[in-house]
Amino acid sequence: MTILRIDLGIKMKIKEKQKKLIKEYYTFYQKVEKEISKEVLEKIEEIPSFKELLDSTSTKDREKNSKISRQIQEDAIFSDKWDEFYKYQTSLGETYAKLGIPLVDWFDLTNIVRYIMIEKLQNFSVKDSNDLFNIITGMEILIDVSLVSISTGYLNTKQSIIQDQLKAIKELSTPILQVNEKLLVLPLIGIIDSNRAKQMTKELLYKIKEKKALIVILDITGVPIVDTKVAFHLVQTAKAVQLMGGIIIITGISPEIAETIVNLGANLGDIPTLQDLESGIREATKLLGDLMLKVKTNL
Amino acid sequence: MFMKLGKNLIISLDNDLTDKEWIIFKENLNLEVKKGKLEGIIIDLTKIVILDSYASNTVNKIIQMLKLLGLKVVIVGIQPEVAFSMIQLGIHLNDSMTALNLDEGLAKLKLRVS
Repeated sequence: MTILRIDLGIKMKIKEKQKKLIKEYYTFYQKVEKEISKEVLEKIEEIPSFKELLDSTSTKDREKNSKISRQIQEDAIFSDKWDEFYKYQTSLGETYAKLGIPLVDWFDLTNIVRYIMIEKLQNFSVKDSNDLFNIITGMEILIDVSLVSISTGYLNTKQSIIQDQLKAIKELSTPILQVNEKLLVLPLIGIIDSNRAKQMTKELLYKIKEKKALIVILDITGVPIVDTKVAFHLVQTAKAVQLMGGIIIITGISPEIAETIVNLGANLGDIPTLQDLESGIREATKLLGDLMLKVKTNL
Repeated sequence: MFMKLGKNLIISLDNDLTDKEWIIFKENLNLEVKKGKLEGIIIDLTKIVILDSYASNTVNKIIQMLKLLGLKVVIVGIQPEVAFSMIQLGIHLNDSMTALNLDEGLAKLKLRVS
């Protein structure tokens, strides 16, 4: 999977006509700003994630931040510096993604602003219905532009977080240890689904070929549930290993898990199973010793 | 494809045999076995990259036939990807003895023959 990074500067081009509408909206906004800012802040505090954010920052910081964002917004609208605006909004989205604020809350926030503005417009005597239309359209465009930039930053960050986690999971899911020349141990932790089972089996098979191993101990101490499906996957893995001339031993079966296996009628085939890793290694060493001895006496 | 080593016969199978080549191979194998004095057979699948259902069926039949003749059969050299796809397709080799490579296969054969 590759991350699709969207470059906003290229993708988004606001038309000159739209810029004019945004200007018209913003001029109106500046007139009513003082009136509505308190109302907006109150509503914002009703959204839990934003309240948390507001509570965690000091008033001084908050004022500083809002001053910066205001400046950038005005620069974009009146001095046509839109690229800086995209960049700023994208970085905001990245920050929110890292803080774990849901993207949905942003839509809530813009809805609040939208409704309060429309309410204000109704009370405010606008001479021309055309003006009213222009102001609302300008507002919608500005909101769309901000939301797109924020979502882009947000999604890009989330995407890279997922990527990192996938990598970590993949690395963690199949830790194959070599105990001695012919013995491998594969401790399994977590839930085994078919995808993981497939990946695990493949890596194990390659490892067996590479290390010329004879016995593999699958330790399932860290597997919380062993139902019929998991048992099926384990049997599949054991069969694949057997095809390559190896033997599989399953260890780490607790009495509880043994009980569920019996109750569910899950079939582990004829894979030898043992209670803990220690006895598994002992058994494997014994098996290997027997084999070596037999080979020697026969030569 | 055939190599005699003491009382053992080593058969090395090539990848991608056509149906006709399989038939020729089986005939040759019959001739080899008829010469007698064999105890063990090693079937080497190292070169095999894809084992389709026809090939695996044929291999299965050969194994069965050799077992009926009282010969010990060991399959060696199944590649990881082949083993994986065999399990995915539900192909089994009649619970035959298997080994990682020729060396191990010979060792296993010695154990069983004695």
